[in-house]
Amino acid sequence: MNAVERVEHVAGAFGPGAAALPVAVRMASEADLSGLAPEFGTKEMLRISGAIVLESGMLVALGCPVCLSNAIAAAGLLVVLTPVVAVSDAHERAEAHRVEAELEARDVTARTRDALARLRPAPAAGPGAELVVVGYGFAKTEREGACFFLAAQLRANGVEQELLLGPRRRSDDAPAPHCASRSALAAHEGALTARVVDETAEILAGLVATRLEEAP
Amino acid sequence: MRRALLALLLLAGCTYARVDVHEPDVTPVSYQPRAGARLERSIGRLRRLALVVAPFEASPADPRWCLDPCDAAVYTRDAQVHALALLEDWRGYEVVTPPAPPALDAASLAALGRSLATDGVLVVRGRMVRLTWLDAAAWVATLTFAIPISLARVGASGEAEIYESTSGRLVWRSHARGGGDTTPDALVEALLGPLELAWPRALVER
Repeated sequence: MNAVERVEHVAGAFGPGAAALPVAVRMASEADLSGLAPEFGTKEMLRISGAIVLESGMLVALGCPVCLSNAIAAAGLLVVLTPVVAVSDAHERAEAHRVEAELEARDVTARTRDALARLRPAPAAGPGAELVVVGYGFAKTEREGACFFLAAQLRANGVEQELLLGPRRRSDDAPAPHCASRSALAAHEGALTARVVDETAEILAGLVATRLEEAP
Repeated sequence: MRRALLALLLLAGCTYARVDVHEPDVTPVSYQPRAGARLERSIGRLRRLALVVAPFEASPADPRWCLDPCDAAVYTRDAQVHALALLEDWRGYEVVTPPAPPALDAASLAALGRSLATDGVLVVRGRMVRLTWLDAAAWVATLTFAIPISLARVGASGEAEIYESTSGRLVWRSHARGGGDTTPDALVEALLGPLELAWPRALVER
């Protein structure tokens, strides 16, 4: 099992009074969905089969008549498998687009603001803390499929701290990530993706509230 | 038909798992959820668990009879290490290991949970059946016709059970079974893979 790197944070670094600060939340990144990309698409299929056909053809031209059978077999494979791979590829891309659409529609920053309003007593007015989401999306893992990750910076009283949620590297106070297959995330119009975003916003708000309340 | 398909999958090295007990209403004792927090969890509310991996039963009991290495103590230890890593890193539970192996009845496990201030006790138990020299002798005697029988017999299987500390109730259980080459990692993965994510520490009242 792959080891998870825990990133330690300094408790109470924001100083006394930080618990009462209002928090502005903003997004500074687009969703990264590289973890949902098909592993073996039509292009790879065409590239590999084409290379075999070309190579065998060249060997035939150089005086290897036996290699003709290789070329014919590769060409046959190309004809049979390309439509299958193309259909599967299109299906996987459609699933990835459904997840992407749900992620954008869900708006993790707006939901984090809502969660912060519920989890913290009414904060004081005026300049306060800022939470900037600098990266989020799905990362591919070997064992759990695609896992949601989010990186944010929390700034208050001249101090900045990282908040990391994810499968490989996460803050020491962050929970285990949400992981699922691309198909599960896309099923039922992206219902699971919606749940993952909602829960991540809730957890992010909890992390922010806890860090601002921590005593040194 | 279903059984035949399952047997074929196991022979092909696949691992099969199912959850047959899942009580949605459980009561944690180690924390209070943060006021205002909205998160859907059932078993995951038991965020602090005591982990008990019972010694795996082995057949044959004497490792000298095995064709391949088949030390049940090593298998149990590896299962424990993997269960701990999976629960903490991939399911977010806070895991406590009891200082001594407890009795495995519900009342003793509930008492253990209360003494360790955990929300529940997770018990993993299992058994492994390995190829023996008798299998090898049977293959020779039957001119290899006994090989499928040997392969259908060997494997690893187990159960994971969670008992609620407040009541001693069995609130979650999964079963898993794999073929002859099932590693402790794969068995634990199959048993605990379906377990819900734990209630996060960030949403615990301080």
